[in-house]
Amino acid sequence: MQQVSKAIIARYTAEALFKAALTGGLYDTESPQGTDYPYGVFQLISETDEHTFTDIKENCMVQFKIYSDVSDSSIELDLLLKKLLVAFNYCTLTVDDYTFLKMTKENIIKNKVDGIWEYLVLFRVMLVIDRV
Amino acid sequence: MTRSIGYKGKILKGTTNILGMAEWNYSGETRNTEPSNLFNYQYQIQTATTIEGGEISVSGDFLIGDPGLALIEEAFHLGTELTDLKLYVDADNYFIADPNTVLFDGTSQPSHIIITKSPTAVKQAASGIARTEFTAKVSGRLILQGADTSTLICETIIACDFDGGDSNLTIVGRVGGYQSLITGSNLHVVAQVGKTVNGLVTLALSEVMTVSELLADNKSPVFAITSDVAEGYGTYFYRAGVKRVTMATSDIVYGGIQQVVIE
Repeated sequence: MQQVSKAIIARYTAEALFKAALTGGLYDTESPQGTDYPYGVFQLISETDEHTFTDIKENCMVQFKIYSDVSDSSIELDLLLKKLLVAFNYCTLTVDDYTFLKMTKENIIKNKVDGIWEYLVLFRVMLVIDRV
Repeated sequence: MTRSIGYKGKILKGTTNILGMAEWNYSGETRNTEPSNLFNYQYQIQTATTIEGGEISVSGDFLIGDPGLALIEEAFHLGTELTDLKLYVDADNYFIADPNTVLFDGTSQPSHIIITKSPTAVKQAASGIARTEFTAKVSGRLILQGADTSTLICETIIACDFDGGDSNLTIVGRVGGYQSLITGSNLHVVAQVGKTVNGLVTLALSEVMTVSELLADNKSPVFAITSDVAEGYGTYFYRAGVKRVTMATSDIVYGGIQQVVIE
């Protein structure tokens, strides 16, 4: 959903601390080849509808992935995770066409692959739009 | 025939949409019976008595300040006998309290709905959004309006005693009034008869009335249909009514059975 991607980018741009710490940048779905660490990618994983007789609630699952190449310790990535949660957990997004309800963290998974630390952070974004 | 798509439904109180509702349920009518125990009879005999209206339950999102929910809450507090609560099965067709439920003696009275659980029943969870629900009880029955062309829109039941032998059965009824009946509309008068002990047996009686016949009889035409009835003893129940045949969804017709003559 283009409106959600646009809202997340806008939020990221406005969150100075998180943006400053994520020096490699935040990208929609795919980062450019050779992006400098640390960087992040977000992706709309799924979008499901819940109907009432008068409106539609959209349940969007958005996954953030943040990476760090400081391989001897995850301290850099842990600090980035804190800033990510401050920026997005229980935040208010401005989403075109929809009334925003909530954005909350669902789960966090930590990985280390080939010396690269990775956090997978899943958020639920709930929106509603009138059908009347 | 068409299937009814859920998301097209809605619930109105009069003309006010009750917002955020996601599900309604009507449990339907139930026939009460009175048991009898007889000497030398192995099975308990059930005799049909009154019909009890069903329960309505509605649930959905709790929207603060929704005028529709406020009207339901007000009706609950006042014990209002609602005649304008509409449960839509799709965009056009809805169940509503029968405005002209015909009684055994030929008179009629409107059915109504009473709110039995206020929409102040609200539940909330930190991980979700607030939900509400309310329930209601039907006194009388619900009818389908704006409906499929073959929907039975009014009916009545009369009990008659038979003493055997061939009989002619004549059912006399009256269409009590209608609104915005369009050219080309027809009403279809139908009847069924069945003996209580052996269960219902369909008797195919019908008469189609055209719109010109309706208009020619001062907007309150009488219909009469006659047929032979097979030999029988005991109490029979006659069920007759009026069906919508080719009517616009906005047409509303009232009517019922006034008399059953057995010769």
